[in-house]
Amino acid sequence: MRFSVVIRYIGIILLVLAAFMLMSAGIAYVSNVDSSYYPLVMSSLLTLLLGCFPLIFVPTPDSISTKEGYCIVVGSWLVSSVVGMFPYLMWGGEFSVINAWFESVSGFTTTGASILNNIEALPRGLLFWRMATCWIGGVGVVMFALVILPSIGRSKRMLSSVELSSLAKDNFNYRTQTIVRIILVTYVLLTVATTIALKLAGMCWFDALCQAMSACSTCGFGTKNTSIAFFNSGLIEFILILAMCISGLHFGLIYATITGKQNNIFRSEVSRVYFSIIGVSSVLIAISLWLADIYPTLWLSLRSSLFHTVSMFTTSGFSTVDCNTWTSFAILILIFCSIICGCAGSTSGGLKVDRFLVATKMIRTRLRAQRHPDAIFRTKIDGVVQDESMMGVVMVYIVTFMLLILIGTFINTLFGADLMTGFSAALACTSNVGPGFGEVGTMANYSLMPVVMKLNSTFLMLLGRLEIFGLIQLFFIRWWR
Amino acid sequence: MKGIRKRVTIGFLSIVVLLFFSGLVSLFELNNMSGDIDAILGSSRRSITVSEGLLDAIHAHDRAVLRYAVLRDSMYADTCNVCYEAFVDKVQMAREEASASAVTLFDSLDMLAQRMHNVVGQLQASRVVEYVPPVQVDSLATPTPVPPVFDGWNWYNQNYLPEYNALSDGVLRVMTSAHSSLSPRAELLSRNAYRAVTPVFISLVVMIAILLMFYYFVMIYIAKPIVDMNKSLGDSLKYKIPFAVKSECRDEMAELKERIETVVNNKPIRF
Repeated sequence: MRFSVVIRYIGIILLVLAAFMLMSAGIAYVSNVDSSYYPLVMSSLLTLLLGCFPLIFVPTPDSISTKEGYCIVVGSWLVSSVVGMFPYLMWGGEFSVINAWFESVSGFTTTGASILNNIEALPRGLLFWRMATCWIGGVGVVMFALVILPSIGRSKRMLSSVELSSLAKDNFNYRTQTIVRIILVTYVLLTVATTIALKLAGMCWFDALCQAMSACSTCGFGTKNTSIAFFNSGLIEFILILAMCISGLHFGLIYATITGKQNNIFRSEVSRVYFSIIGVSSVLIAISLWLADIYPTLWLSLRSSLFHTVSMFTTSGFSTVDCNTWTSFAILILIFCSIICGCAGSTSGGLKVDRFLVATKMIRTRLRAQRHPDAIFRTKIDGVVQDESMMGVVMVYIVTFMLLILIGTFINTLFGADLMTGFSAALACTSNVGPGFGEVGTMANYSLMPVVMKLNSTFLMLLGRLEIFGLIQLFFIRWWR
Repeated sequence: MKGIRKRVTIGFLSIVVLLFFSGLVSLFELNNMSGDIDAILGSSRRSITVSEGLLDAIHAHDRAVLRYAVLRDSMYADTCNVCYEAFVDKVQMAREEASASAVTLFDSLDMLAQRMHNVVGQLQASRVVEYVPPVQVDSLATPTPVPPVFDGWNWYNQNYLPEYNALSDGVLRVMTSAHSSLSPRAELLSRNAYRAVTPVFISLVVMIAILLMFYYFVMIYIAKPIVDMNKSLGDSLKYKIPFAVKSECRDEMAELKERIETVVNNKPIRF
């Protein structure tokens, strides 16, 4: 293991972050040199220095090993989260060290959970940096470096294979460089289109850009204290639903649909299940809310339920109402959506529809095998027979995911949270949804949580974002030998 | 300058730049803090001076009212008016210097002073202070109705004193307004102090990280190759083992390694 190589690649990623910090400083400068200008300029200079330093000494390696690849990817996420704290800490306000760490990790992992009581008090530069963290994190910090810097050369394949999960690569039959480009182009185009649509719907350019960045990265950070409820517009909600829905799909499928390829959104079994879950959940919640007289009309119930189902299912976490006031049935469905979440190869977190589909098919296969012990059954998705070992990995992932939520709940309740708050905080952080229920509901935040709970939540966010095993491996001493 | 010298120089220069940067940041933030403290102290001093003048004016008014109403010295009727005018002038002067947020305080002072002046004005208009009851010469004559004798103390305590107290409280509010507005300012200052430390602290952390990296790179790209080459050269000279260095060599180190290899492997070694 060559640490110098790992440090070199992390340095390259820091250069990307420094560029985004400078962009945020530019926004602060345009906004009458607001109070975040100097913190952002200072942070970008420090990040630039930190990123450049390894490049002076370490030469470009011919290749990198799998271990080095894991260390680069995990190290990049961790170092990005640390460096992302700089502007918050330098600005001050509500950002103590723990709060800044929480906000930074929440941004990069696209969780969207916040410790801020007054978001509107933040200057524009810092608001933009907050959105930039989630936008970078949406597609992955390493992916940005892979596209922007050609000097990475032959190491691209290794890094992209570590950064993207095996499920995410399923719909791509291209070279690594092409895959990375497709993801980035789709992501940027989606953000631009959403920004323009939100502007046309009545938002100012700044809010439109920030909300688009947040929606496309399925993060859920807002520029207003009351999230999307502030805008009180059906059209804005509709645009955001569309943006979140698309961002929750496999980017390869979106690209295939746009370019007229055969394996597109409409043919994919995964995307059919994805839309079915959204549709059925929304209708069930709407009926439940209407019957409980929470909304006067079925239409209003449907509007609200669709928005929140998509928001939770794609792990965005935007809100227009306090979901704590909803019926237990509606809350249970939202919890189910928070577990399953979007498709692999998208910006969303959670278990992923792909794994859910594999698991349900495996259950069906198991039941059929019990009825016909001598028959041989194969699990197929989109007509493709699924590899036994891959299905085993999926099941292990699901079990580990559930165990993590359980352990997270234990820790949260141990430090004073009630069961609902503790469970939903653990779930919302592991799935990278953001808001949960109880004291961390859609209209509340994580500011009142004790320090241990905040640290626990950030650890869960990182685990969820790195698909658990990437981060856990680093804790095994044998792995380092 | 190139090769190892260039890299080492850039490494050191980065640390120097970082040191200079953190020093500059702390100076900048300390300068801001000093400005804020001056502003807070200045505002506090101004409010005390203004309140002192206003309190002097209402005390003078109070003394005049006591003389006029309680001691029934009608000569002080005009003094009361003069003192009121003086108070109003002081309020006006203070209002012109005050910040926009403090203007409402002076408006309420104006209103309270006006009410106090009205109370005294009503007394002056009734002329009960100047009234002297006529002496009854003929004790058998039907007594003419005489207004009751004016009780100055009673009037002072019941009519004037509440208004005076309200006005005094108003002046005290003006005096403490600077201190109550100090609270957000003090909060800002505490945040500034926090900010003043944070960039320096972060620069320090970054500097430590860079120093550690510098140490690591110097060790693996300079120190380790030299140690390895020295060991390998010693071994090949002593035991005739082929010269081989495992550690990664760059720039002059790579050249040196190649040259030693050429010399050791191609030329016969004499013992």
